[in-house]
Amino acid sequence: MEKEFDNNDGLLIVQNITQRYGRRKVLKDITFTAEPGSCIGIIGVNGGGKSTLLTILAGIHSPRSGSVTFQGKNMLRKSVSRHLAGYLPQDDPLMEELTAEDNLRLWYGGKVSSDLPVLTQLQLTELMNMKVRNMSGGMKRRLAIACSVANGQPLLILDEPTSSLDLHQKKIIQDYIREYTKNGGIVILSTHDVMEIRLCTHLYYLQDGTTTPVDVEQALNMLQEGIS
Amino acid sequence: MNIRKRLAYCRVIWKKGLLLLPRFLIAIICITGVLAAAVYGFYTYVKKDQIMPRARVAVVTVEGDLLTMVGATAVANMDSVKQVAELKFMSEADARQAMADGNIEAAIYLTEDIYHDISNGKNTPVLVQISSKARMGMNMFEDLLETAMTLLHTGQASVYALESAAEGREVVTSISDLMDLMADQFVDLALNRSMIWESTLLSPYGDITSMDFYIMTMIMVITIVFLGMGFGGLYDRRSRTVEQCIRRTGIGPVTSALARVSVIMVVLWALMAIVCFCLGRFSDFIEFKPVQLVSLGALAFSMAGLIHLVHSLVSGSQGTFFYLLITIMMFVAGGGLFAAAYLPGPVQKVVPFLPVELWQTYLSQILWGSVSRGTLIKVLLAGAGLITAGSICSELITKRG
Repeated sequence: MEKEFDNNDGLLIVQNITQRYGRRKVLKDITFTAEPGSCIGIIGVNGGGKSTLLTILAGIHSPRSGSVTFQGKNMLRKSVSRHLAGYLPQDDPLMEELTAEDNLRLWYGGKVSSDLPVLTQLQLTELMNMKVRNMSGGMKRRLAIACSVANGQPLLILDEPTSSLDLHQKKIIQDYIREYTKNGGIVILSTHDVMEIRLCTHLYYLQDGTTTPVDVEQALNMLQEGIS
Repeated sequence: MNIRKRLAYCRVIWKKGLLLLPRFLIAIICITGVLAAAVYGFYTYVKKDQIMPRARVAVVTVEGDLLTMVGATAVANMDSVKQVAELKFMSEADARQAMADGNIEAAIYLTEDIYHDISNGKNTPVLVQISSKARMGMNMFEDLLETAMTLLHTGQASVYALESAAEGREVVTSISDLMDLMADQFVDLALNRSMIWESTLLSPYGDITSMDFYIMTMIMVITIVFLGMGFGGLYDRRSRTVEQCIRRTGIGPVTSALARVSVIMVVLWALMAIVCFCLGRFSDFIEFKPVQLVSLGALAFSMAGLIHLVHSLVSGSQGTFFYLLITIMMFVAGGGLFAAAYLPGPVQKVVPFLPVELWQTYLSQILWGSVSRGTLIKVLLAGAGLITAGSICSELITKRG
């Protein structure tokens, strides 16, 4: 990790988040907290509201009600969330026609040195001049993660970060997540992946708009039974 | 930090925009060739249709009737008559043979002493034969012949009225001379139009020719329809995911719109400048002046606004089809492909609300006249309006995700 996160008072408090699309309530009073160094996993069936919750935490969409506070600041304000949280959506937010370096420039606001720690950790240094459209899914995902933490944010929100990647690519990303939390960062991710579930310090099962805390064993059973 | 990010964003969008170009450049060159040929062909067709062929008409007079011959020759040489008919004097037998051979479309058989008969108020019938194989232009000849008859009746009436008025009164000259003088004056005034009428060009294309109109159409179709279609890549679905995330970094919709519009505008401007330079350098359609390049900038800005708006509404492969559909419909309904005067009534009412006619007026001023301040302001306002509308749509769609 390029730096230790100055995150001593960095408690993430999510309180009574409610969201609805039309008459349908997709999130009902979601409440949880996360301490620095923790990795929060959100599991649940597709269409259950996981991505909606993550976009609210990232400040992209506003909830109907509730609050999100991090380091004592209101994360629902876009100007705050952009400085404190990195966000990776399910689709890689990359420009396919351009090189990795061009994409990184976009997020970092200028030229990016190839010896930047995040690039080394995600094994991207050799790919700087490669066009995104020529990259594999794993390469793109790693590059997208590097882009999302451009401001060195202490909170990282990842929407299914390693889905449909091979084991080698998954390991690189999971090592990065491990290192990120070890340095005091908080990671919140949605997942259907066994290895990612094992990586999480806290797990929440999202069903019918409400979250239930589960342990790793319960989560793995749910995965096996096909209900997450 | 924000300025650095904005500059980095603009740089990336520019690079992306320019990378899209090569894919379309070859297609545009081919399309330009096809369009140029089509425009030339269409122009030739329209021009041919615009010029009515003169009717070839035989005038048959009785041999030895010099006065009728002189009168008919005078009429044949008048500009009104010369424009619609080519009168040839021949004998009755020759006229019938020429009509049978298809060498003439009509024959007018003048009776002996018809000149005197007209002067004396005797209505001697004149036989006019029109070939059943006559060309389209004969319709015009027929109409004008009827009009001429009416004119003659009117003229005759005034001459006879003068005669009635002069009878029993003292006149210095003889009534017969006075009537001849009146008849001459009347025929001269009625048929020698250039004496009293000013020539005025009434054209559905305004102050420009049909060729000028279709040159403009070609330039606009190439730029807006084909080049504009190529910029869909700046607005594809994946770009929207990028946009959504980019917004989190503090780059707002204004920077986003300006970056994209600027790259579209510069490419449009460059293409129009090249086309205008080539037209000025290698043809005599326009006279190329460097100041035109400045004026083209405003047009490129306005057109870029439309491209921005349409691509903001729908993206992806559907977006390309939607763009093509919208621009073609707008061109047709806006009087871009056919002059507004040719469009059906209800469609003509839509024309003022579409920017095509405004752009064509402005382009015609750049190429063949001088740019009016009013038109320039309208073009800039149209561009600003389209960009604003596009940015609002883009923002709403990005927010919705």
